[in-house]
Amino acid sequence: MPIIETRNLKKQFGTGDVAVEVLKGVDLSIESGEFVALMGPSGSGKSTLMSILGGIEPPTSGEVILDGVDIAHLSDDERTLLRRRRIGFVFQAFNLIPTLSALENVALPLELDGVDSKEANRRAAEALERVELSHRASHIPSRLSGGEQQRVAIARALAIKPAILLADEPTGNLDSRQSTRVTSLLRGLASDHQQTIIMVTHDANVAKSAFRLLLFRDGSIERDIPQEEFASNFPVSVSGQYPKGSAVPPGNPVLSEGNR
Amino acid sequence: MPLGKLSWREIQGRPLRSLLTLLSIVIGVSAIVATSLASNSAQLAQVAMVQSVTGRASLEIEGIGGASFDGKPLEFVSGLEGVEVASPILRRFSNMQIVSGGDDKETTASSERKVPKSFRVQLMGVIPELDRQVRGYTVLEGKELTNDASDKASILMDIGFAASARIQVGTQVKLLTRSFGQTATVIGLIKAKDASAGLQSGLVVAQLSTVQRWSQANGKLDAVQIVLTQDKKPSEMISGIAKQLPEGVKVREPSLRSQISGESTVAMQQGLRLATASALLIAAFIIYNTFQMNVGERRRQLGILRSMGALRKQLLWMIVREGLWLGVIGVLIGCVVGNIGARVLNQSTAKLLQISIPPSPWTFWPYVTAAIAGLVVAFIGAFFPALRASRLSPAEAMRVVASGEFGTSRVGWLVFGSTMITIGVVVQICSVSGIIDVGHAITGATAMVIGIVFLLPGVIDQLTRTVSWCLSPFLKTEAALARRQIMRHRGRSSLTIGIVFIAMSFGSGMASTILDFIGNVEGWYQRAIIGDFFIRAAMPDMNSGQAADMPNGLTDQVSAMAGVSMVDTLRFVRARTGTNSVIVVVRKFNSPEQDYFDLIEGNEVEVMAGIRKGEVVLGSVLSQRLNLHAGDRIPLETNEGATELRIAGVTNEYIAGGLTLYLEAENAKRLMNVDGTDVIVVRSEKGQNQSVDRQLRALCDETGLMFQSYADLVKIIRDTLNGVTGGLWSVLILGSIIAAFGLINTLAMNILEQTREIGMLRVVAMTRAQVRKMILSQALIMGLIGIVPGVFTGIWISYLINLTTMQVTGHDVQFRIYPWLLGGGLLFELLVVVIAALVPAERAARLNVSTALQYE
Repeated sequence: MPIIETRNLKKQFGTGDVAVEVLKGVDLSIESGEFVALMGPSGSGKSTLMSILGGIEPPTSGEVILDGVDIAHLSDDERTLLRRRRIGFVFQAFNLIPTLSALENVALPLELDGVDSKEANRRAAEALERVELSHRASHIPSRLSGGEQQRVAIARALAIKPAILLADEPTGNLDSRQSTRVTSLLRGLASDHQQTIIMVTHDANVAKSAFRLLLFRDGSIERDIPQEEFASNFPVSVSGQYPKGSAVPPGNPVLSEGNR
Repeated sequence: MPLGKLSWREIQGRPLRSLLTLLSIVIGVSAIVATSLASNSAQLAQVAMVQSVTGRASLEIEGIGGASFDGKPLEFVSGLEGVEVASPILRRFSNMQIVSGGDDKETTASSERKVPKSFRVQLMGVIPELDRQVRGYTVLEGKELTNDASDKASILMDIGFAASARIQVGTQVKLLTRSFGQTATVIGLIKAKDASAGLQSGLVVAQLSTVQRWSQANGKLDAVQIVLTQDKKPSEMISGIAKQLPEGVKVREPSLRSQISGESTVAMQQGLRLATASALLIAAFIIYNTFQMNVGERRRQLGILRSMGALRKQLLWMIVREGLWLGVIGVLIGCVVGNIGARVLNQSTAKLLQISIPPSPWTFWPYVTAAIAGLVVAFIGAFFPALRASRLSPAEAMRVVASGEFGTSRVGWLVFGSTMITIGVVVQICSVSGIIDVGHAITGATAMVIGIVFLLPGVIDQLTRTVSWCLSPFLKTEAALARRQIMRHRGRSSLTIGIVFIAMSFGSGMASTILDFIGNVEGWYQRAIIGDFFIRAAMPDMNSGQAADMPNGLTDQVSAMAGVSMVDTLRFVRARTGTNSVIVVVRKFNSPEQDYFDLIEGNEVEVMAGIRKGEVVLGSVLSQRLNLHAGDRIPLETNEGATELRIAGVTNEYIAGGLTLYLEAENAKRLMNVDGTDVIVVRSEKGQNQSVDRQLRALCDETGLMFQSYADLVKIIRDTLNGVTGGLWSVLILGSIIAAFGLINTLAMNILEQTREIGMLRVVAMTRAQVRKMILSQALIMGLIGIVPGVFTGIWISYLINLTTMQVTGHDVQFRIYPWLLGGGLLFELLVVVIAALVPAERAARLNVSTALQYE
């Protein structure tokens, strides 16, 4: 049974002449414990899909079924509680609260949910241990490296024991060494702890660590490729990058017939 | 409270912004506390004074106009059914000196002594065993006073007063009376039941016969205090007793005596209330603007919190809580500052009105009112930005570049602003034209000012265009770029302009009114205080204006001095007209060619002729309160019952708050049995000033009397005016400083957001000087839009205040326009604006170009 699925999911921004249809009827099904990478050119709708899956934005139409519940039609407060208890977010820009220490950042969503501060701190410390950052628990974000900040963000997402972890370009702001470390951390979570992960990335090397690859283009899924298929013949070549900021990536192998 | 930690760190992380919010609340709260305490202290002190004298008496027999009366015909009262006790009393104010037995270190004559050599006391002659049943004091040290011959020169003294004067049981004191100095021994220290310990004029109790002898008032009484049996009500007894009373004596409930209360401080209170209102208004706008910026700056953080599951109400409460925390701290500091401010105000009031005001008694409500106002202002200031923040969608909030200022509905502001202006203008027109009470004009003006502030977001486009066009000859490109940044944040810029506008309009309005008020007081004392020298036994009582008794024969002694051309006497007597209490100023009006009054109504010659034949001159406040004018008749309680006296004129008056009525001495004696002197006014012959000065000083040193020259008196008045107006000026300057902080805040925020843009402009060859000019232009555009209309609104507010002054305070203060004040105020505010822009401009000019380009 899928942990999350979408049916004919559409999202439109603006109205009338300035209306832009970002998602054009996305049908998607993800099983529990899957590690899915989403790739596609900028503006193809990946991040919007992530926002809708995470309950940050409501769709214009269609359904998003999480654990059998259609979250598309929940109220704002219900979606907020869903994010708080079932969804873990990891962002490209880390998005840690700069005035709180690593431990306090991780404990914050638990405390928001009413967990008492002692218990929240214990669980936060556990999460930090999983990302091997116990020794940096009392540091504020500005005292941590980019990779460490991202691992704190992952710990924060894990602390609530989420049904799905949504990672939007988690390595986008990291150098290759830090990027590898974060990628293996995510893969370890999926393979060792059966954590469901959906990750947006422009980096082919990062995407290769996923179990399944979804190629996005113009608001719909262009290809859905299982790991065994892309492990031997990955559809993105050369630098392994979808150039960011470009709606139509030059020489994008996804667009060439031979790579389909 | 999961977000409490975050809130606290936010406050700590932005110390300047938090300080600005805090300062706004502190000023608002302290203004309320100071104003309320200062007025309460005067009013409560008077009630306490009355209570300390009347005790639990439910009825009191008094002479009409406060005059003394013969006690013999009243002996029947104690035998009446329903009367438990009838205690006769003779009250006199006196000047007291310590002869021996006190703490010599502190009380011996020395220019550096902490405790003055002379003390003003209220001497009460009583029959001890009767008095104890009325006023219920307890003897804490020493022994009870008896009516025995051995206690003829013994006195009891209030223990609080004794402690402050370093007097102990056994101390010998000299009391200045009509029979000159009389020595008495303190045999007991008492604690009066009702708050009299807080009074500066200490309570001294002696045998009735002793005080009668000292005061040369044998057989005379000032009052008979009556305690009724429990089954009798005062109203049932009054008519029965009144029927048997001789002429010139009345029976009534003692509470009526406290009617002359805070009237004397009304004028100052009005000014302070207006300053308080404007301080609160500015505080509310500042806090709102600060939190608006705060929320704008934290939108990404708010987005993160929303994405990880913070509910809207959790975010709303988090930001509101930050406001309330600052509110609580601001309230606490404001209460302390306000308490200090009240002391300063009390001192100034006491000097101005020539009265003694005791220390502010502890009262709960000013603090509660100020705390509620401070917290409400903090709550409102934080709530609306918080509400907007909570409505942000997480996705929008986390965008790196904000899509623009959120939550500004121009139409909404236009409608609200226009409605407020319309209501304000209608109220002003109605009050000025007499359709409604003229006192509402200020409320109308306040509504209009608030309306203008709310209208700003709707008209800021045209206003900034005009001002930047005016600046373009000097700052062409910079002004155009500055205008764009201002327009990018219409709401924030409008609020900043609004703060400058409120500060300028209320500031210039109040400043103009202060100058009018000072001019009026100066005009009054130049015309009304006539005399080269003034002698009195002590500063007068705040309740009645009465001073201590002066020795008999002193007037003749002064008249006989070489070089004295004229001696006049003043006596202040409490009297009643209808249900109102007034102070009758009894004067001899000895000099035929002298102008005695600062007349508002009536001709000087006719007024003087009238007053010599028994007519009266009314103080302006009394005339206003009773709506009586020159030519009308005023009913005054006299020996012959209520006597209608013709009003010869109305004079501008500041003595006893203007609730005064002038009566010539001979007529006062005939009508009200008034004799004795509170103040002797002396004029010297030409060239004899120094000689008379020397002689009078010697006399006063010898007798322990107070001596003041005209210059001393004018200095007291001027010092006092400076004290009162100094308080108001400080509030206004603080208003300007807060407005400047608001401007700095906005500029700093603009620069932060413009960092990338400034980097780009620097790349395309904008010099540092041009960056400075661009930021300065932002400040000038916002400043000029606030300042120029603010000056004109200020003139209008000043006019309205003057219009309402007569009705509210009874003082006819003339409205004037002071071009130097308005020009100076405009330049001062512009200077404040430029100074406010200096630091942000320098910070912008020194931005590192490459870092600025990478700024997100």
